[in-house]
Amino acid sequence: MAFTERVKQRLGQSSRNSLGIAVGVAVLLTAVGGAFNRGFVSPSNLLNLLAISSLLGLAAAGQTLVVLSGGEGIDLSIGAVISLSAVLTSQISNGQNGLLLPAVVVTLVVGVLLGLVNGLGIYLAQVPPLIMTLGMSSVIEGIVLVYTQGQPKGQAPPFLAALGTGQVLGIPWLIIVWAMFTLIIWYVLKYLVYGRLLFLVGDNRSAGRMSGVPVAKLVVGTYALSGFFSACTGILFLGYTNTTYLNIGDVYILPSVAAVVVGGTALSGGRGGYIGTVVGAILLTVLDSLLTTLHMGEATRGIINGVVLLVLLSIYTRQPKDA
Amino acid sequence: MLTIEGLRKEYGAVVALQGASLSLVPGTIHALLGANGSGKSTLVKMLGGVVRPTEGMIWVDEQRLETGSPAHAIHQGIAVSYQETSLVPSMSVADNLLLGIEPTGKAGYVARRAIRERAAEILDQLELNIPPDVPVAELPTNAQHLLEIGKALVKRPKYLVLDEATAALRREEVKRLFSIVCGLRDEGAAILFVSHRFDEVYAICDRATVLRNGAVVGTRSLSKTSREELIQDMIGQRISLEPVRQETGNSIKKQSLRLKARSLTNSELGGVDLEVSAGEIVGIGGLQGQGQTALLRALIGAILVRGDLETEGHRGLFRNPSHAAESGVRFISGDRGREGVFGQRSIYENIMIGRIATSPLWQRAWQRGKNRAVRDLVEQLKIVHHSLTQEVRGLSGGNQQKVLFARTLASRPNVVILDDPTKGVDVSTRMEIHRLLRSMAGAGVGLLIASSDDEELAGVCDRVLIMYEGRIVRELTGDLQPSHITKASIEGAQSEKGKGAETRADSL
Ligand SMILES: Nc1ncnc2c1ncn2[C@@H]1O[C@H](COP(=O)(O)OP(=O)(O)OP(=O)(O)O)[C@@H](O)[C@H]1O
Ligand SMILES: [Mg+2]
Repeated sequence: MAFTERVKQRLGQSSRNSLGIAVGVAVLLTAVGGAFNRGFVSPSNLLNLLAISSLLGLAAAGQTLVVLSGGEGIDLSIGAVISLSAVLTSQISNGQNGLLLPAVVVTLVVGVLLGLVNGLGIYLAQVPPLIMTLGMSSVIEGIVLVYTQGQPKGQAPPFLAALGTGQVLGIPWLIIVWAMFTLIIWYVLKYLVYGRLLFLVGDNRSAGRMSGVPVAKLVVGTYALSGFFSACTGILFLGYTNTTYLNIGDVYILPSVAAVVVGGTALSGGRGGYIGTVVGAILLTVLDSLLTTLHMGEATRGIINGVVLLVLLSIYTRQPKDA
Repeated sequence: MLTIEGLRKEYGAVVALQGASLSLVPGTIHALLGANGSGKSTLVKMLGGVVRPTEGMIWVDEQRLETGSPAHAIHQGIAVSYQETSLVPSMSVADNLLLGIEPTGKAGYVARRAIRERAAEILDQLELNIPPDVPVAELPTNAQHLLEIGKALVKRPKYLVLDEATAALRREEVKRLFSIVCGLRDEGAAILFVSHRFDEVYAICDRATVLRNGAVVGTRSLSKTSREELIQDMIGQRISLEPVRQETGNSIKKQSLRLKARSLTNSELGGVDLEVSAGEIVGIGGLQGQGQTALLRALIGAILVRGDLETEGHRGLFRNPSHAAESGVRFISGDRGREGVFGQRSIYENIMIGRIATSPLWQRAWQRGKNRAVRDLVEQLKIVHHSLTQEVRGLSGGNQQKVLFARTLASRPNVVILDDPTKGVDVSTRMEIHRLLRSMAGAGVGLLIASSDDEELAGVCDRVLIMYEGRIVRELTGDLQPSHITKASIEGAQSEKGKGAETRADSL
């Protein structure tokens, strides 16, 4: 017990209070933004921030599941899958509503397959998740390069563009789509066998195996789900930006991990949840937007982002000395 | 002399220990007894400095011990072998042995040669033949526990604390440990010995302090105290110590076969044939490390094996434990921490997984009414807890074991395969579990139990198979006596050797 137990105890304690802290910090950041610039807290800007968060939030959905599944789970191929998905959808649909459905289906299938390969490499071939998904990332980027010959063509079909930028009753569609995804993921994690087992297996994989859980199916499936969510993100991203260029997904790789961690999910697996990630995605988006509002240079932004992350994590893992 | 005064520990609303006092006298061995969750390990952890008391003091040779400081405890000559071990799995055996007390050279760098030599010395004393540079994670459970003890011994303690150090050990290993411990005592050390096994306590201890619900009931001289008196102190009532089997009788008629294995063979098994009928409890005994663990694991598909297997509705070897679970064959590992509990998850989830592990992944998991079943199991097994949603790692060791048991009961199995099912479980719960095993058998489940405790095998099994070098060499039936099982284990080994069976170098 002793030391390792205490470390674990500290890490474990985190997710209980961390959600509250993350919400508090997000509200605080928004208030600070409002103090500098009233426009920052105007309804339209807040909705806009939420819409931007929704893309990060979706990208981080798969990341959340993968991290929860334990075994040092992480998916760094998220960015590449997002890029590929945006490219695939735009090329196949060629800007026509009529071709959107087949384009989406192909894209989702490809996303799931890539995730499956990740999962198989990690579970069966025992490649560490970091290496496997990083390698997968390079492979996908290479494929995109060959497929597009360096110059992705096409644009979003009008329907998708409307979904990415349009509103209903003043609320961006992206937010509504995200809310639906959130509801489903929350439900799956809380009530379905898959979700319940994910937490248990994430906590202790060997114990899961010995208690009869089909761990292979569960873990490989989780990476496939991550591929699915990345593909969804890529498709919506195309709608949001309307055009596509190479490596558009790269900006989500590290923030997706950060959103998960800020949301209180333990990197060691088995603890946390998607609601935390949702808050984490919003927090990170607000922070970034705030720093832009304050006209900070990219370097300063990077530094402040990092410092906020470190401060949050050190608060999460703090707890009364005597335990 | 080490004196504990009014030691108290609260975990939030839970009072784990409420003002315990006792003294350890040099040259004596002091037993610390109590039911699961009575606060023994809590007291031990405060002695070792890894848990800070809410109140109370510890005096070592008239000096006040700085509580909550492992370094200071070590400095004062206190060394602890923890119940759940304090080893770092990724580190080597040698590094673990000397963790916290590495000899340092002039420049302050770690003198690795010296480390290796001292480590080897300790391994030798424990007759643990493992290379010092193997990572601890690769060792079997009993070796890890021996190492945990070695880690305490290497400090040459004046006060040695052993928290259920023998629970995972085999008979021969316990003997070896006792001779080392008695040697230490004769050199003037004081030893605090925590165990649920009375024969061990009576064999080496002078006095015993009994805890009940976190309070000291009393300290008694063992030469003037009977087992019954100790148990009465522990649980506050008298219970019968008669083995369970005699109580329920042996009248269960054998029905259909639940499990039939033919010529199971791999690097550790030399062609094992095995049958378990419905309503039958089959024990697996023998000397330490004769393939018992491998056999259990082969049966559930956790390790590769050749041969043939038949269970109800299924023919052929299982691909993996999940495949076995689908056919109603469940396993309880002897390695509770690594392969048993989900420490960060709730008691409820830890038990429910028995029910949902093999359900379709996209089905709804929690249904009303199942709460009731979980609560009943927790009550039936007397799991000491304050809430079903509390993390399992906050439970005492024995109560964690009971959670594993509840999980298996919840899964409604056809066959249950158990590796040391009552490891670290107190006497009254052990009887309770034996009774449960019998009632499961009575309900038609077939049980296969490996145990390092011949008394347990004799008490609960209908037949006992003795293993030697990966084969079953004897079968004992009828009126089982612990001494017969022990004798058969040794004789089985000798006669097999006599036959000129090739003796493999002991792998451990
Ligand atoms: N970290 C913790 N958080 C909350 N409660 C705890 C914690 N550690 C121990 N407890 C509680 O304190 C009580 C005493 O536990 P302890 O581990 O000392 O029992 P024990 O006598 O060693 O039992 P066993 O024989 O099963 O090992 C138990 O009720 C347990 O649930
Ligand atoms: Mg204990």
